[in-house]
Amino acid sequence: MLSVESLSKSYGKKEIFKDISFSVQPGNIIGLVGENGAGKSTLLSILATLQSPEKGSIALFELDYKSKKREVRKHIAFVPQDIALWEDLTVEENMMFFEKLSWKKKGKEELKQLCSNVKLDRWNERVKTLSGGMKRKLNLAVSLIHDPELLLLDEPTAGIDLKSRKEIGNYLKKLALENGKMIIYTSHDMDEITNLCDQIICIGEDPFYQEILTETGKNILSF
Amino acid sequence: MIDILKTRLIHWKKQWMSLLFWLAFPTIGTILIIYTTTAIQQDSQVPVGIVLEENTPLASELYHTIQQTPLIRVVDVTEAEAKRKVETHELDSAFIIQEGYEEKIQKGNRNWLIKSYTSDLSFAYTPVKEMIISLVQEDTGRTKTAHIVRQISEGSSKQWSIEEIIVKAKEIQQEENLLRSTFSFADGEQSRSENEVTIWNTWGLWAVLSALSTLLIFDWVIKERKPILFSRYAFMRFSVKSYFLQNLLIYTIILFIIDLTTAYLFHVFLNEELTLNWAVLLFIHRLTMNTTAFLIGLLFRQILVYYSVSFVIALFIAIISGAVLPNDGLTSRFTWLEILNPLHSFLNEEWMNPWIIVCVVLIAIWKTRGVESHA
Amino acid sequence: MNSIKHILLFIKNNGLQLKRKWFSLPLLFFFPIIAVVLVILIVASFFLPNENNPIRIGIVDLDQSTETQMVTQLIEDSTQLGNYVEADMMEEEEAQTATSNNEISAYLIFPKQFTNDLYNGNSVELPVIGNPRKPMESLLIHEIIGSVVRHIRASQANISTINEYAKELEMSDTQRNDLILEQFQEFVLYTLGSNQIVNENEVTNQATSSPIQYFTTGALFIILTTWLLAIYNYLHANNSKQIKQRMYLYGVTELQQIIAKMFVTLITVFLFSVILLVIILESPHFDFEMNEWIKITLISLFYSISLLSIFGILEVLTVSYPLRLLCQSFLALVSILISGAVIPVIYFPFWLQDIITYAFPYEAFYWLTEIILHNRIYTDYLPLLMITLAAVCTLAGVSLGKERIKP
Repeated sequence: MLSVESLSKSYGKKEIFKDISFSVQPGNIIGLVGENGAGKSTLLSILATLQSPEKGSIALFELDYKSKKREVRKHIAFVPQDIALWEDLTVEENMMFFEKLSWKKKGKEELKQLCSNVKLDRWNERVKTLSGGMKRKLNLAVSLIHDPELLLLDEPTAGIDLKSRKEIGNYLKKLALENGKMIIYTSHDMDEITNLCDQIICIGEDPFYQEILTETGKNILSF
Repeated sequence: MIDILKTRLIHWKKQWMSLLFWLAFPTIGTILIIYTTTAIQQDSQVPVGIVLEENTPLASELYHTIQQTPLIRVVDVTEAEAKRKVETHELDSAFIIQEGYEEKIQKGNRNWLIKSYTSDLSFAYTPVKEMIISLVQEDTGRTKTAHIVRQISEGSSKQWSIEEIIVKAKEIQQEENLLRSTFSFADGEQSRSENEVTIWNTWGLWAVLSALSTLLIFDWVIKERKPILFSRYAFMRFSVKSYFLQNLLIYTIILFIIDLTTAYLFHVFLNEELTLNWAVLLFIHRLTMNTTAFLIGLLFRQILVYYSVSFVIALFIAIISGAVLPNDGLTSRFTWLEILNPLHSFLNEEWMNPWIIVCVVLIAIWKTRGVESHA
Repeated sequence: MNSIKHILLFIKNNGLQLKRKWFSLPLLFFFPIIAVVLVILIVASFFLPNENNPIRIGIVDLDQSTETQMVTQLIEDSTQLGNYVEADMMEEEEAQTATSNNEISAYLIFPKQFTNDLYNGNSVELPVIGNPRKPMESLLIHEIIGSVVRHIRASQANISTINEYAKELEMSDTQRNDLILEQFQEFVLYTLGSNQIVNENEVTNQATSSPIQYFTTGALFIILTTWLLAIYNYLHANNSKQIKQRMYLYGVTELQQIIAKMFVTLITVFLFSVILLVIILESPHFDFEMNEWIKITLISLFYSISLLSIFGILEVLTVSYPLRLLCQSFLALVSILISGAVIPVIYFPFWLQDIITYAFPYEAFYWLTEIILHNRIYTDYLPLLMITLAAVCTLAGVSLGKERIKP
């Protein structure tokens, strides 16, 4: 499980967030909401070990983020908001490329299976010719190569069509329920959040969000 | 390591055309430049004006001999034209075979047989003058010989005419064309014939072109340091820095194999030496080039700026390294230039290379510096 | 009309680009100047050998006769360069070590029995071994020794002739050998005096009535070419696919962008040239004069447009940026070489001269030197103008043609 205790972060004098604490159990899906610039992405990248918090501590399966950074990373998948792929390479080559650098070895068939799990079947096409939805799916698939326990997704469904959105959502749900993964993701789509999440974390003080969130009847944590 | 190589191969599969081009560029470029300039150099002739003031056999013989010299293109002019054309530099220099040439020679007088016009721009004047002097000298020398023979035969029963002796001397010279100088470089296995000697320092030229292509091949250091990719590198089995260093190693191996191929090709086409000693030097040079290119790449984020800077760097290496222009004149005055010159150790076959030490230290600092930023 | 509006827009854009990055302008200004000055320094320091640092050669005398010593003397004294050549006698191993230590430029070996073989009519070779790290100096030494060898060859035939006749005159061997040695010395002295054959007249080359004037013109031409290359590429914008698409939708063609770039390059180079010329003309150390400003500007303009057009054509034809830079740099280099700014064209092979005279760099540099150095009144712009027009038309044709093929 992931436990976060009194996390604070500020850039210079500007405080991003303060005193965030929560924990995530295997099988949980957490939605992260808030207005633009509230610090969702910062929180995600802190959880992904890419940035360090100012105060507070984080532990994943009892592994402390500060002292066991490298160990921790083996269990994390981070799906960035931007597409972090080789545009010139095909889907297959991208998968193969990142597999070689990954902690887990996987065969070609397994990689192909991973892609078809996220409903991505353009195995031999170059990334630059793929549609936005396809790129997002590949962006996700690449992050999952090493079978991580904790999935951190920064707007994985932004700007893609309804069908792909559903497909990604269903897959995430399946990962949580069947494989016991912990998933934290940000989104601006309230329906999707209501549908998928067990718990919602709201960052920022905008009363607008508070109001909408109360209507969902979900477990809400506000910071 | 094998895995890194495999990821590299995935990239190369996409870029094989440009990769191949830049890998082959220094070698093929060097061979082409040397062949073209040698061809041009062989065909190059110095335009020299010749004025023939008399039509005696000796004078026209001299004229024809000059004409047959491959180095010179004879332009027939009058004295006034000759002077003007040297002034406007349409001729390198001009020589006038003066009236009374034959008569003076026959009398054993060799002062001022030829009149010449030169200017301070007559680059080829000295060798052309030396050649003409040696030709005239042959004629005057023979006359001198004839007079000496006449002297020593004085009072003897045997007497020969001047003409007879001159004919005999010519015969002897033709029969016994005995003395010639040969030229070879101290490192050359075979001595090359004079025409094939190129003014280029083959490896120097190659080193300059190779510096350029190495820098351009190392554009991966910038392409693969895009900030967005760091969110992937963080979750790799390798640390980012070890990923980059392993790639550096792979590039070093590949480029060194290409370098060895180059050494073989230069051996075949340009008669360059092929020794184990040289291979080691080449390897040290390769390591220097690659570590330098790697460090330079780390300084840049924008690929176009990096490309342009690569060309500027290559230009300055070409100028100061002594590989293309002879820089002995400068380095003998300012010895510190030798230390600044990244090609110095390689071109002077020295084992100690300050550049590689600096580069390795810098890379070590880069590797260990603080926590891995971004990752 | 639209086209002109687009071009003006891009000119403004490029101007802004330069203004934003104004701090790199001095760099662009100085970089070619530094490069050219460095080259001049290096070449000058090589071709003006200093007497404190002569070209050192080794002489390995395996024969050890009076004659070889005299020949050594002959080499030291033979040419004008003799002042700058220092010959040292050494053993063969010494010479080899000195070569590999880069102490001498070349060494020469008098083989065993050198003199005897010569007198007796046996073929002899005089090997010159060059230092591969000093190829230019090695070749220079070889040239000098070559002319010495020619002298010896002629003298040797003469001495052989005397020997022949002396034999016929039934001289005693000692008497004959003395005679030969005496004659050998005589011929060496005779060779040393051979300079008196030529009555040398040094005329003042119009171009070099002040050499600075001549070299400055060449250097300015090279700097101009380098500026054109550097600034044109400095303005290169790496437009993303999206931006390109957007431009395409607005009806902007590649040609319009290239023309705008050419224009801004020309203006910048013009300003740079004015600054540099003011510095040079005002500097008391430079003896450089220039009149006929309009003519000079026109010729430089034609040259610049032609060169930039070809840069543009290369830009249209090549996809990869480094490859384009390579092609453009190569073109600039060839331009400089065939213009005659480095090596006067008269030294090129005849067939090459024929071709070169049709090339715009030659044409431009020729008229520049005619005006600046020879104060010529008449100028024939026509060939240069025709070439410039042809270059611009080719650029337009290639660029529009490519646009048409594009889907």
